[in-house]
Amino acid sequence: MAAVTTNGDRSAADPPLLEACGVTVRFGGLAALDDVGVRVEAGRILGIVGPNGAGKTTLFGVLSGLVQPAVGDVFIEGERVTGLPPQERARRGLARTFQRAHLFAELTVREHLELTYRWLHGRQSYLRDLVGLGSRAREDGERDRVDRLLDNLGLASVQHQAASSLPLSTARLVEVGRALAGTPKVVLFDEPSSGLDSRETEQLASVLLRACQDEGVALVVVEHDFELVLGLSDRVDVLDFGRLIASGTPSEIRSDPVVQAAYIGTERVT
Amino acid sequence: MNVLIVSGLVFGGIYAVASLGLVLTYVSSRIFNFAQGALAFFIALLFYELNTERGWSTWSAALVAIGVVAPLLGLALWAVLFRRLSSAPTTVQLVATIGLYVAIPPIAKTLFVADEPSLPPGFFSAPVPEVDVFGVTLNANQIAVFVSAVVVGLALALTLRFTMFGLTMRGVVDHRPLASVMGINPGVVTAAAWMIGTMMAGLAGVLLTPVLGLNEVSFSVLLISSFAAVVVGRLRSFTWTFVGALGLGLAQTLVTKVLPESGWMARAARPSIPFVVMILFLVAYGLVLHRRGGEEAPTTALLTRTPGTGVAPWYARVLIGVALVVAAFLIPELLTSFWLGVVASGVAVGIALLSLVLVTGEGGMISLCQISLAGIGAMGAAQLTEFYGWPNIPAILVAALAAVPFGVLVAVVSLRLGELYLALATLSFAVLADNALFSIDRIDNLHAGQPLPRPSLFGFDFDSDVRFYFLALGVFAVAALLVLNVRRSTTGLTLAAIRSSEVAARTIGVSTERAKVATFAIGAFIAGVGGGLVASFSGRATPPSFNAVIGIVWLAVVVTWGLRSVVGALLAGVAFSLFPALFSAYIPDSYAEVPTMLFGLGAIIVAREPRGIVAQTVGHWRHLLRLDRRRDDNDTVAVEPSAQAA
Repeated sequence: MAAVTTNGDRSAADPPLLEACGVTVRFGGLAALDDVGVRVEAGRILGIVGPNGAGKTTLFGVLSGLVQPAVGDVFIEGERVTGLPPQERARRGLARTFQRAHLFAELTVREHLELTYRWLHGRQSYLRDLVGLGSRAREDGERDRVDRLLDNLGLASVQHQAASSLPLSTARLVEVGRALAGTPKVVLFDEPSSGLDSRETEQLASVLLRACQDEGVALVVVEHDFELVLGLSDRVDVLDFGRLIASGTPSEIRSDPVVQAAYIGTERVT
Repeated sequence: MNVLIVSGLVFGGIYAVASLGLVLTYVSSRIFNFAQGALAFFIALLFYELNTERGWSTWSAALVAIGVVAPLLGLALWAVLFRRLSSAPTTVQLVATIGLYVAIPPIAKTLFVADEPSLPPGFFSAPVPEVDVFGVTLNANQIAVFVSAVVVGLALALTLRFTMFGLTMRGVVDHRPLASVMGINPGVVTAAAWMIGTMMAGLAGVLLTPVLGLNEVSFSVLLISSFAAVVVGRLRSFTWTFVGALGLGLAQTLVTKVLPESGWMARAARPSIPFVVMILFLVAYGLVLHRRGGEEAPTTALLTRTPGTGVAPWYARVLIGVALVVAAFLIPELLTSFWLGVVASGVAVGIALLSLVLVTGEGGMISLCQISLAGIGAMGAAQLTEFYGWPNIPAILVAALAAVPFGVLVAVVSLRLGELYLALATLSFAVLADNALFSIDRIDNLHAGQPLPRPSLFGFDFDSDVRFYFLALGVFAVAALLVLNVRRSTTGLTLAAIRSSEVAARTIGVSTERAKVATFAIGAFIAGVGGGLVASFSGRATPPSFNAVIGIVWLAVVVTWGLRSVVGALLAGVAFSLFPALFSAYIPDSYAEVPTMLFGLGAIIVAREPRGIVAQTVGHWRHLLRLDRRRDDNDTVAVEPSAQAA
């Protein structure tokens, strides 16, 4: 794949897995995002922090294709995907979770993972399904992948339960499993830990780290739990009122006076 | 020219009264009252009964019908039905009001005059007083329309702007939970809105009577035309609804200036205008939604699939299968030829109804145009056999294939629409098919249609009722297998996923557009084959048997028997054909309307049991017989409306 570079200053042969440049989104007159850029490389974890209303979820919407930016571009592996719908981005290796779980109420836990795998590995065909050739279309790759993810997430015991019957914490884990089931290259996690207790958070963190190390998946994690993000991420971007106010390694961010003033300070007060 | 303008304003005024009432009830309760036209018919027939049959004076009849019965009817409907539906999924609300739409006219005809009156009077009976205004002769009924439209429009505008009720109403509309917190009782406001809305329906009905007569089909189709004004007003703007209503009325009459005197164009254009306008506006809304990123309201399925519990143990399934096959072979032995024929044509209808099980049950998309796709199959096949000498079976198959592009067109146009707009768009297509496609001279043939003989295959004729019965059963079995294949496969999972959360489905790589188009395409083919068989059983493909209004009854029947059940489609088809025949054979004529009434009431019951009769009965028996492999409490799946991305 040809490395399409937009900024002249980038010399590396490999473009970042996911990159957004100069993204601006306006709702009415209000700029929800103002000239924001982020990038993440394979196997790395990018944390995005900011108080409520800072534009984190909107940024995820722009990255995943649910929100079209007024200005700016999104690239997956150097390919411009700005106008493409979410499903096209998913096929290029982008997966995401939602802040409030968007599960498929009628599907079992296992079916969530199987469905994702089949769509992203080209195993779904309307015609084959119609004539009855596709209904038992299971392959070893799918079974291995799904079984392993269910085990890792501790979901094996509930795999045949309907999503609508699950408690919130389990539902969040199913969302993570669904996102990883399609062997994505980059995953956006919107507040993955909310609703989870500390044991579940640890389990989740270990699954995320394993995906990162074993498969070279790049992760973008939005959290307002500042410490969690700093502990997990390779780099951290700080958003405030739709602007990127700081960007750096966790230790740089921790000592950044602008961040302390604009974010940590106000967060502690409110 | 002036005469045309007056006539256009008369229609526009009636549209305005009806559609403003519809907007009023919609904004206050978020329930789109499909039955508005049926309510109008009910009150108009009551007015006729009191005024003409019982000899009451016009004013006392009008006062009782519009001033007393209409608000009480609105209040009763709200208390019994709409109050409970206000938080139900849109699909359930739609199906319930569609049930009302089906049930109310037969109730009215059973309660009041059964036969269609000839030349019923409006507020003024013949000789209707006339006056000359600026050189145009206006009769008193026309003036009544103008006065009503102006008074209703002004009263609404002033009430909403200047009274406590209006303020409350706007508060409820803008933010229902907030209004509750602030001590406003949304229930009272909503009840009042339904009372006033029903009065306006009744007023529109009485105004329409002298113009159109009291035929329930033309009545409801005309009032369905007023939906276009509501769509122009985007379901919330009273002003734009009013403007849209007058514009539609004017457009419908002024267009006759540029049309030929007679022929297809003259017949097709005028009734089609509101539906063309409706589709254009809906497409525009769809495009706007698309540009904004398509964050439309999440679709909620009418009927949900409960994983793991939907499957009976193997011995139960074998038992049911054997019982069905035995019954299929016993029926021809037990029934006379006439009744077997009734059942056979019901099975053929059941094939077409399978397309609803697929598109609406599996796909979660309310479609009111499956009957038109069946009609394309039927009338296309008749064209091929009559004019091109095709053998029957290839003709039916090819005509069913010809229905596919129409199904795809409907799907593409309505892709981005929410459930309510989808229902309106498919209904528009159905009415347009009636008005513009099936009215072509060589198809319509003065409503007689074209002959379509019963099929024969390799020299074997399916001419007797027994043979046709088995043919229909065989085709049903194949079509049912296709639907089951879809349901059990990855496609079925995909459709279930889309029903829960379209946004999440897209983020796992599902092209929701393609899934919907594929579902509509398969459904169109099945509907086309079913329509071909229905027509070939009766020997003719006639446009009136594939009328949009009957399509609404189809949906009501399928919903009653179970929108997610293949067996339900079969039973629904047989019931659709058998009930009216049973009633006309054994029950006095005065109850001839009861079957239709039952179909409508059945659909209303889905508000209580959304899975339909079959699922409900199976559930009861399974519970009794302890056939459930495991007891679990998720028998009723609450489909959580997936959260909007913040």
